[in-house]
Amino acid sequence: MYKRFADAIIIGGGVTGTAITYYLSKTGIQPILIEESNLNAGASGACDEGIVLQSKHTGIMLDMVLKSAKLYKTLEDELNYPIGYRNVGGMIIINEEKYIPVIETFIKKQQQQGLNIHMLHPSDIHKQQPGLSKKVVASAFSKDDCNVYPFKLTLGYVEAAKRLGAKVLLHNRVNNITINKNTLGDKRRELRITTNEHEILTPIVVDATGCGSRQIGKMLGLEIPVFPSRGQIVITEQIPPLIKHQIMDAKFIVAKHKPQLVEKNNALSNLNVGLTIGQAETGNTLIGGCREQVGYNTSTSFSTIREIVKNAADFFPFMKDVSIIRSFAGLRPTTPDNLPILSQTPIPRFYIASGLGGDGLSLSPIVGKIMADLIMKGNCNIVDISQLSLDRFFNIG
Amino acid sequence: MKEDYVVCRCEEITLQEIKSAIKQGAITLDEIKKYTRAGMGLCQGRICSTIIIEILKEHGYLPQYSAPPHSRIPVRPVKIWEYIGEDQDV
Ligand SMILES: Cc1cc2nc3c(=O)[nH]c(=O)nc-3n(C[C@H](O)[C@H](O)[C@H](O)COP(=O)(O)OP(=O)(O)OC[C@H]3O[C@@H](n4cnc5c(N)ncnc54)[C@H](O)[C@@H]3O)c2cc1C
Repeated sequence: MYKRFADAIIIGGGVTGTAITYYLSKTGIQPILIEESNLNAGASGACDEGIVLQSKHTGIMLDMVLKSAKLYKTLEDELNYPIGYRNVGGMIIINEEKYIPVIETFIKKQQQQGLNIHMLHPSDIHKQQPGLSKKVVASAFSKDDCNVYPFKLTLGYVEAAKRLGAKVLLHNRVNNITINKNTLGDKRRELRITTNEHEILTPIVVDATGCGSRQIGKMLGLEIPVFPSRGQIVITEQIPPLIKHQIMDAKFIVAKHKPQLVEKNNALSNLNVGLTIGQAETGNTLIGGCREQVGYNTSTSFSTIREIVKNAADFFPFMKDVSIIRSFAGLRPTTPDNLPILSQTPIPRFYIASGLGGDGLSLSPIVGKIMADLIMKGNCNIVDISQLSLDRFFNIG
Repeated sequence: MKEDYVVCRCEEITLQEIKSAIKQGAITLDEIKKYTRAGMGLCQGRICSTIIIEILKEHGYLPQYSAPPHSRIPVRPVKIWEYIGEDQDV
């Protein structure tokens, strides 16, 4: 057991934890990032590449993603690392007339909040994205949606943070966190982290463990309501650049606003499958998506994969002749109200940045910045994070 | 093996890239794959896995750390039309 001190400890090597490590390092302190396995072991290693603005609800989520998108524009230069950032633009495609008014209302509110988005003229849809089935009757388009490669993004944050003095402990699982009672007034010793290899005393701890948060909370007697929502993704062989944009089925949005409009009696909606598709820089396409409540199970299933590729062939008939080479599943760390938790806690200097659901990649730089402010200044002027506090789940009425 | 030896031919990943991933902290096949893309290509690591395991061993990582990445659907590349079956109305 090695004993040491740290200015701050961040637990979890996904996009959230690595972003926080970087932005905290920038304030001049030297944190340690602890990851039980390796970078991207959780949701951040099993997701799409989308920085998607147009799927966000107006209010704090759209506010955060707009600010995040701005940070992403210069992030690659700032980190001095190739993170695979590409401004591809995004479409929300509609294949049912009855969804059109829902999406029109949705994007009108987004426009008022400053999002660059519009409905495409019907005759432009198939020019904007050739190969799309004629079943697509309408589509929204935002040129601000982007792609980023999550594996390189986390490495980029980590390498930049290390240059500023941060340290990274991989293959270290946090097994316990305790509060040091007898610190003789020395704040540096207030919290004690125990991993399989180390014991570290530190004044500041940030939980960024995604679906691990409930477990971390239990170590301190806190209830952190973050639950897994599984998504499965199919990867195809590399093909020429045919899928130009990050594309999402309007059904995902309609299901939230007007659930009664989405058919419940067919196989697709039972699995909660709605197409998401994008093409990576390598030429592989990534096809999703679904939301399944199956606990912590990260296996893929034949039936869901079949629905996903069927859906892809339905929207993009040419995809029928494309080969799939791999599939994987990831767990979105999801909260009961689908908003993240970016928060202080009843335990002084123990913070939470978790519950990022299906949006963690899109939000990583802004989350890093918000947490650095919260930790170093005691408050955050970037967005009103009171809505994202842990106690919102417990202050009823 | 020379540093520019191509370990994973599908994704064109060299020995040097594998070694630098090990330096950054990748110690299993799955971790090497995430750091470098080796094994993500058309053959899904069927050819390069054994070489990467040897490289890991040379760096002192025990074989039990080298559990193969999850084997997942599909077992070999399959055209989408084959997968969904021709009876399907697509
Ligand atoms: C199929 C799918 C598609 C997605 N597509 C997108 C998309 O296009 N755009 C987007 O913005 N978002 C997307 N998401 C969501 C995104 O992946 C997540 O919101 C994001 O990755 C969460 O990152 P995180 O760092 O908070 O958590 P994670 O990536 O889950 O990281 C948590 C880390 O903590 C570690 N950990 C846990 N417990 C401990 C412990 N006790 N000690 C030490 N370490 C521990 C884990 O090993 C893990 O590495 C998608 C998600 C899925 C599943």
